[in-house]
Order: sequence, then C-alpha cells, then structure tokens
Amino acid sequence: MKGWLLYGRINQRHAPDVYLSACVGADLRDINLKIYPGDFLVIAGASGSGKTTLLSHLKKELAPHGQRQGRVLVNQQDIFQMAQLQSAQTIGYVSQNPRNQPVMATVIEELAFSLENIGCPSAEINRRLAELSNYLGLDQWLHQPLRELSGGQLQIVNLAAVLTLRPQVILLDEPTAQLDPLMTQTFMAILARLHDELGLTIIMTEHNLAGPLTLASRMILLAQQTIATDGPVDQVVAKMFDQPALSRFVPEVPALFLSCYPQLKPVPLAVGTGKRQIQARQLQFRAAGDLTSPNEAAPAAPPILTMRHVSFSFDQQSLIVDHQNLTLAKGDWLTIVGKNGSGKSTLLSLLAGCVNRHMAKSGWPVRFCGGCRI
Amino acid sequence: MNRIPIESRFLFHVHPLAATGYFVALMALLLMFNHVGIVGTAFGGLILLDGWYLGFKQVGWQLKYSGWLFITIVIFNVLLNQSGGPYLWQVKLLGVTWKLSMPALLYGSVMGLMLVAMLLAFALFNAILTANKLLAVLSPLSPRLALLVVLSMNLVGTLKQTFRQLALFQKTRNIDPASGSVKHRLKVGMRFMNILLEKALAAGMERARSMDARGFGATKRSQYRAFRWQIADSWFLGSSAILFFCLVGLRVGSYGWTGSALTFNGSISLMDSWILGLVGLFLGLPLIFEGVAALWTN
Repeated sequence: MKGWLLYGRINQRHAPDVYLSACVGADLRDINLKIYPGDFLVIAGASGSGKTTLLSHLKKELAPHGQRQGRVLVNQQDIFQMAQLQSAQTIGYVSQNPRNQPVMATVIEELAFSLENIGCPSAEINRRLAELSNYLGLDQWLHQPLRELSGGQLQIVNLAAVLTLRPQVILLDEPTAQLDPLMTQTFMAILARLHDELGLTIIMTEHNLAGPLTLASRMILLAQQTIATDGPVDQVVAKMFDQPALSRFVPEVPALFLSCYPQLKPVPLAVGTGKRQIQARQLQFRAAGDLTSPNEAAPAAPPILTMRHVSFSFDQQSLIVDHQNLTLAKGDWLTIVGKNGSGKSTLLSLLAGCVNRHMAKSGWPVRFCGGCRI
Repeated sequence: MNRIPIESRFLFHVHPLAATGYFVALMALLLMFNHVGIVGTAFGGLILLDGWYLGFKQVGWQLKYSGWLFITIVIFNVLLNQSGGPYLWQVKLLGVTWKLSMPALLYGSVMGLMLVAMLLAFALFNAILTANKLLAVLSPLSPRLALLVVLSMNLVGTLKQTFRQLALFQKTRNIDPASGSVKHRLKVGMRFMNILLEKALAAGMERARSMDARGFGATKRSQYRAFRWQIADSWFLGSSAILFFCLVGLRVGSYGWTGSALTFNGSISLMDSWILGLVGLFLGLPLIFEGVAALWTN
C-alpha cells in the first residue's frame, strides 16, 4: 500500500511553513506527521509495528532500502536532498545497542570524532568538548578507554558524541533497551535537561515507557504499520490501556488510575501528579489486600546448589564477588538485583559454572558443593 | 613488577605517518625473504618486540592459537610436496609411498612462520596505530578506505569478544569447541563462526551507518589533537627506510630467496647472514630508539 510518512519542522506552532513526508512500503503506510521545534515525541507500539522503520526515515543516512513514496522536510528542505555535512549537523541519531556506535578507543577521541568529520578547527573542538563534558559530567571519563565503560556510560557518551554537532533534532532508537533501571534514570534525566535547558527536539522510540512518559510532550502510537493515535501523552496512554496487546506497556501509575478511574482526565503519569489528583478530587482506592505470597515455612529441602566463601577477581586486585555464601534448594526462585558493575553477571556466571580460563587463573578459591558442576 | 603501559612507550608516540611507514616496510619484509634463518630471525625479533610492547603473556596466548595455523600449514606442505630430498621418513600405505622430505618440512615451516610472524606484526600494529591515528593517516588519501580499515579492525575485536561470550555460554549446554573429537570441534567451530560472522557483520553495518550519520567522509577531516612531526620521527623513519631499501637491494640481487621448494635448505651464506643482521636491526629499531629516547630524557 502506498502512503506518506510526514515529518516536519515548523517555525510557529500554528502556522506550519514546512512539511515533510516520506514513504513507506509494506512496513509503513499512510503516515502523516508534523513535528514542532522543542517537541519531545515518543513513538510507541508493539514489536514489529514499525517504530524503528519510522525513525529511520527521518534521517537520510539511516533510511532503509525499499520502495519509498512521499517526502521528509526539515526547515523546508527535503532530507534526501540534504548534503551529508548539513544532515550530520541538523539531525543526530543514537542507536539501540550502545556497543555498536563507538568508533574510537577513548571517550575524548569518540567525542572529537564527530567534530573532526565536519572539519571543525582544533580550538573549536577543544572548546566544544570542554563545554559538553562539563555540562554532562563526563570530565572524569574523558581519557578512559571505551571498552572499560558500562553500557549505560557508553550510551551517554554516544549521546554526547552526537550532541557535539549541535543538531536541531535528536533521534533515539530505544536508547535504554540495554540499560539497567538506574542508568535508565540517569539517561532520562540528561534528556530532560537537554529538552528543558537547550530546547532540543527529541524523537524517541521506546518500549519501557515509565521514564519517557513523564518527559514527553507528545506521543504517537503505531499500530498495523500506521499512526493509530497522535496527541498528548495521557490521551495516547489511555488508548494504549484499552488495547489488550498494548496495555502491558502502560507504566504502573497511569495503569492504576486507568483501571480504577477510567474517566479521569488528565491521566496522572507520575506519582507526584497522581498524589495531587487524589487530593484534589478526593479519589479513593480499595486496598487489594496483601499481594505478597505468605512466607510459609517450607519443608527443609536439601540444597541443590551451595556456594561457600566464593570470591572472584578479574585483576587479582579488586574483588567482584567477595566471600559469597549462598544456598539454593530445589524449586527456589532467586533474583539477583544490583546496579551496573555490582557483579550480578559474574555471580550468575559462577553459579552456572561459566568460569573461563582467565577467571580460573584468578587465584581465588572457587568452591561449589551439592552437585553443582564447574 | 608492573609492565610500563604501551601508551608511555616511544613507538606509541611516533608520528602516525612514520609508524605506518615502519609497519608497511615490516609487512613487506616478512614477504620478501623465504630463507629459514631470516624468517626465523624475523619471528624471534617479533616475539621480543611484541613481548616488550604488549607483554609476553599476550604473546604466549597468541602463539598458542596461531600455533594451530602453523602446524596446519606444515602438515599440508609435507603431504602435498612429495618431491625433493633428502627424505627424513617414508611410509607405504595402500600401495602409495608417503615421504617426509627435508625441503617440504623446511618450506612448510617457513611459510607457517611467515604467517605467524605476520599475525604478530599485525597485533603490534593494532596496538600502536589506534583508530584515530589510522584515520589521520588514511582519511586525506581516501575516507572510504579509512572507514573500511577502521571497521575491519573493530570487526576483529567484535569477533574475539563475541566468540569468548558464545563459547562461555554454550559450555553450559555442553557445546564446547575445545573438547571432543576433531570432527566434533570442527562442527561446533563452524557453527560458531557462522553466528559470529553474522553478528559481527551486523554490528559493522550499524557502526558504518552511525559513522555516516555523524558526517564521516562529508568533508576533509580535521584533528582535535594535532600530530606534530618531530625530529625523532625523521630519524626513525629515515633509519627504517635505509635499512628497508638495503634489504630490498639484497632481495633484488636474489639473496635470501629460494626459487624452488625442491632446493630448500637451511644453509646460511655470508650474504644471508648480512640480511639476517639487517632484519634483526630493523626489528630492533623501536627498542634502540626507546633506549636513546630514555637516555635523552634523563
């Protein structure tokens, strides 16, 4: 089917002087979209609905191969007619996998890479790097090798590397998909600052909507390869909640209000606004009772896996796992929680017996009993 | 005692152009001679050089894996080269006589050593000429070539990292490329290679798109950190060039090269020993300059 994907940037909110429209093949159809300066737009939808495809059409270098009809205009200029230099300085892009973007070896080289590409003079590069690293708090990492950064830190560097070019619009393709909750919060806080303090236009696709919903000024919902809903965030969230396939993506706070007070407008998206609504409208909620399972005294089952004083280090200097004791009985369900770099994966690798030669040479006692095999 | 980081060494601070010149000459030298003594000297020199800059632990690890490549090349040469003499051993199997000849063994060993030496040289090249230096050297000539080289170098890193992870996790499913029969190892290895290549290529494509999106190749690149040409760079490149052209001259005079695999032998003539010494000196240049720089600084 043919259709149009429209992306536009206009000078005045109610008097668009520019339109853009791009194309679609079987993956997207009948897309018409205008994006205003300073918009924080979240594109939501189920897997395979075309979120990434839609985002990819907004930058020439990312446009997928296929049959395309329509146009995408930025400042009255078709992006497919735009020179690469101008495109780089107008629209920035951060990909989903933080490890797939970096080119250089250290943070400072990676930040400078974009500016070197556009032939920026050395003094200007240094000025912009100092400015941005101060603004985003990257000073401590500047000379650190990229391979030593966590996924979250790397994604912030990727964002910074794009920001050095001072683009008008930033496209983010599920940027927090591979980050832990703490790093997601940090990343979202940076986006909020960029949006509020610099007035950047941000367009992002996201599955985990808890963070971006409170920041977004607008949201579109993709369904069946087209824009099903476009509007204020709370209205789109309400429509998502009505669809069984999408309701599970609605974060807890709006989900609670939508399930108890479906007519409530605007739907609170965060705890703060929720509390204010409760006080202002005297809303009442019925306690659902204790949802936690009773802590029944389970019959003493023999341990299936036991760790005794397990320590582990990669460099024989700092311990990742420090004298860990753990006993698991058959049928136990263990959840390991912790921030990036706290040793969750290492502990799990030790439990699974994934101790490679490098690890085995670390010299620390690694001992399992109760039938666990290394 | 902790090893001095490579970032503090002389060779790391040589101008990228001079370092590129040195490595290009080194790679050419490794292909220019096939005398067992010369190749052996180059191999030994590279082990010392890599050990000095990268650490002998890493060299040992690399030799362990490239050793298989060496053995494979020797075996194939010995099996396919049945001419020449003297024979070291022979066996009659199903009416066919298999001979292990000295030239075949020597030729196979030289070819194997050359390849392993190239891999050692490449490991050092990779550590010294980081992505920003390569881009500084290649971008003015051809941005597309620079892109390709940087992507290839990242591809190697991605392959290694993914292979380690894949092998680690597949072990929990009792799929181990390092155990079982040769057939089983090959089967598992091929399956892993398939996955690795697909993943590494996909990552490479995404990186290329990201570079494009950030304006790579749009115009002439600038450098945030200018690489200034120092007198030491001239001395280093000049000495390397003199040694290299001396060796090229000797090679043009047909020294250090055996034209036929059938006449391969280990004897060292006077000219061969000259080449041997020059190759050793060429490989020792970074260490000599390292010492001079240290003396100069102190």
